[in-house]
Amino acid sequence: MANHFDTHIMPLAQQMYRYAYAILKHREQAKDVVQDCLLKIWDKKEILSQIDNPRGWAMRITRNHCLDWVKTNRYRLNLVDSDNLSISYNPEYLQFEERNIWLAKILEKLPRKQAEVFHLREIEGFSYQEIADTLDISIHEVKVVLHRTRQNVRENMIKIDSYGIAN
Amino acid sequence: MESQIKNLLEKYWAGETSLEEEKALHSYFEKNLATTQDARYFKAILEIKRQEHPSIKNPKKENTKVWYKAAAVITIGVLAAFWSIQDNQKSNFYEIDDPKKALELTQTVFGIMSNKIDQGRDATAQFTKMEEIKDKIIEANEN
Repeated sequence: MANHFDTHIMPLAQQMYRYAYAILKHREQAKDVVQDCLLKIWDKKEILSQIDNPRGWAMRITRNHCLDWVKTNRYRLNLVDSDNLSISYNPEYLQFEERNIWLAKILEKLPRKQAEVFHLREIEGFSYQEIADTLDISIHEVKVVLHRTRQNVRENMIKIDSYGIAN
Repeated sequence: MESQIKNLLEKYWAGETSLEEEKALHSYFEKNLATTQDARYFKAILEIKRQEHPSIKNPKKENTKVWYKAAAVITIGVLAAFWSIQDNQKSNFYEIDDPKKALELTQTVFGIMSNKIDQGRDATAQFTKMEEIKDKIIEANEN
């Protein structure tokens, strides 16, 4: 049981962190959420061998924890609800080279579902099934959203190159 | 190679690439020095991928550390009570954060306590030994 945790869950810790960070935009908060998720998963280690898709499962736990944290702290964040939360890679915190900040700014403006699908596919290399499991949507929807997102990002890239601004 | 990448890029922007094909694109642009729009896009994604937090810990090890800390606190509480009786002074409370040091001292103290229970020891010698332990705890706390 402990081995399953070490071999299937601990290697996901940094993926969980990047995902939590993209939602929460705060390094220490994202780290705390991930530690809480790992503890929660550790408490459920008996069922790990029965999970078909441990990566999608762990990321869904991470996502739910992040959204719960946002709900609890929404007054502090001046949000009406978590649906208004955007996903981003706050270039002030990330060690971006100046020339790559443009992508972070484009992604910050995406609707949340598009940004999450983009993150899970492009950053974490998730399969369509894993993305569907994490977000609790169909594979068909994942494909449609991903295509739309890439088009959106590409249009903004072209705008930046043409006019030097994003949207 | 170039035409292969060009074809893959067309498929990618049309949303038709497989995961393996996308990995091939990421891998190609990681090493490629081109400054085309596509190259800049994939390099920017790579930069996001490299973000990680260095100090995320295995909760299994964290749980063990908590146990050691609790054992150390209990042990020190017992010692403090012992010293109070011996010295007629207000008991002091020490806490050790380093789990290894905590475990070592806990084992040392329980070794002495069990020896005391075993009897046949001179009370003065016992008190002297306890004083030595107390000094070690103070030293560990200060380090």
